[in-house]
Amino acid sequence: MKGLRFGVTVVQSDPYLVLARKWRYFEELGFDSLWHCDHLLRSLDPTAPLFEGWTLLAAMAAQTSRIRVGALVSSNVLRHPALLAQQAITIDHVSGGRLELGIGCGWFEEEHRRFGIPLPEPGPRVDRFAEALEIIDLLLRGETVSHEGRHYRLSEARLRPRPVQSPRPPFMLAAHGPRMLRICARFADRWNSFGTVGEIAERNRLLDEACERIGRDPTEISRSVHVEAFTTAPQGLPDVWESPGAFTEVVGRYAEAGMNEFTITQPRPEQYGVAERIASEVIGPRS
Amino acid sequence: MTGPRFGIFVAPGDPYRVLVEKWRHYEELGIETIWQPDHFLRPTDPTAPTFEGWTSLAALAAQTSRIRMGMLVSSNLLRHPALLVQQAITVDHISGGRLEVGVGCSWFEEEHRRFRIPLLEPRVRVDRFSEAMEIIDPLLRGETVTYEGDHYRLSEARLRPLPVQLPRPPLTVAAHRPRMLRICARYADRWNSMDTPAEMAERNRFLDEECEKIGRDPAGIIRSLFVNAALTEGGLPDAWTSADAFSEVVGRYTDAGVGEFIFNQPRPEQQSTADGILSEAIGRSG
Repeated sequence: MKGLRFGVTVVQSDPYLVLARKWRYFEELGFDSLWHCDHLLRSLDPTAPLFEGWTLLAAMAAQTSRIRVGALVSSNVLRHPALLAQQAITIDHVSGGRLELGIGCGWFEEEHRRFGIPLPEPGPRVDRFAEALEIIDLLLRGETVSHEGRHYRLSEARLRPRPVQSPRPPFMLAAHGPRMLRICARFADRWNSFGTVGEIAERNRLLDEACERIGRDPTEISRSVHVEAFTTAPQGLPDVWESPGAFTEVVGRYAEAGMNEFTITQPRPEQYGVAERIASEVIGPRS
Repeated sequence: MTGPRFGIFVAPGDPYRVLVEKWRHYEELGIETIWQPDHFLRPTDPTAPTFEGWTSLAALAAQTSRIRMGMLVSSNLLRHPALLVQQAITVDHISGGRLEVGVGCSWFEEEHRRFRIPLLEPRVRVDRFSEAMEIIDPLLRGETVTYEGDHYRLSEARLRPLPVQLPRPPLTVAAHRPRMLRICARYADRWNSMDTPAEMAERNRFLDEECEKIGRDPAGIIRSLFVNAALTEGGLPDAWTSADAFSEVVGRYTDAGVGEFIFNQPRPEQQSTADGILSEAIGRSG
């Protein structure tokens, strides 16, 4: 398991004090990163409670001290890119340089329909995402940005302070299709996806090719896969939290497909004991 | 509470750790509320550092325990009202029910020009703000909202969890002119403005009348003044120079019907004088 990194997603539906305890718990267990989503409604159960992603991330940053923090992923259609950049700078300061900037192009139709926030067609949505990344990248590097695009226009816009991480916090981009993978090749420090081992291996290869076409070293981008029972079970793979052996097996399969980072949905309450064993037997001894 | 209420306004332009120390300092001092702006650029110096409002508010909520807090005020044009409400609910939980929800219709032209976020002409901007309030209020109360407006459309939209403060956290509305004051009369728990004592008195009276027209008890709205550099430049003494100057500011505006003073933070060299003045004033106010 050497060289691999492990993150946990903690769904923001628990009472706040419970969430704060979970964050510190996974930090103490030695996980590398903590994640939650960015939605107005929880996609698996739109009636469930769900705290707002970025304000809660600020609290997560304030309540932890070592573990890296991020949204998996922040929806580009919910905020102007400058607002996202300013939020990112703020949390990078609150956390002392521990922010992972997770961004995606937006997808959850029900939330857009109910709240009346336009969700563009897939084509323009991806165009808009690429444009947003250009702006966010420059703003986070502290540059003065003038931009005349289809979706955004800025005239000599600059944000201060600069982030703590230099030149900027890493971009964790969610991408599954070829166009999004090409955008990843341009902007991502980490690429995140989910799917079967076969699908992930194929996307990994597409990302390598996209990097080579634009002259970027493909090894600069970490390959991150989201692991959840709904993707592992249909492949006949065990639930990762079943045992240290199951964890190692699933991780090993995706590692063979070229993945080196894992974001894993939090264990169910009855699996915490196993999670602690995994932490001490698999995750802890990595270095 | 017998005397006026006191709040402090701290622009989030210091290094984060300094900001945390400042907030804890004012919490120690016993100030009731602490406020910060919501801008990409600081209006008094667009090149100065400024953290994003709601995320820094959330972090500072996690690092304090008694003081109440809010945005003075959150700009309606920067976020969809539902996102604003979800943020407010989240910060209300992080703070254990210490949030004041401050909203306004937006005004800072330079920021809108540079980031090219349309500021809209004033009439349309207020229309949009009025629609936003019709959405924010019920969403914060946990209601399922269906709404067909010119600016916003929602179909059976609902946010969970409910906030900690029920039926909802108090709403502060920044308003200076008749249409905005009418919106205040309908929704606000606190009205905030800034201008001369005569203008404040006039707006105060107008707000009373508007409340009466819709059958609301005017005493249900805190009358709050933002004491900032613009007022000092207009001839008001700087409250942090002496106890007398402070009393004069408070006295003049108390006569105009102001019940709460939100002071811009003192300059570093004024800090100890300001602390002395504030702790005495808080003691007197009970």
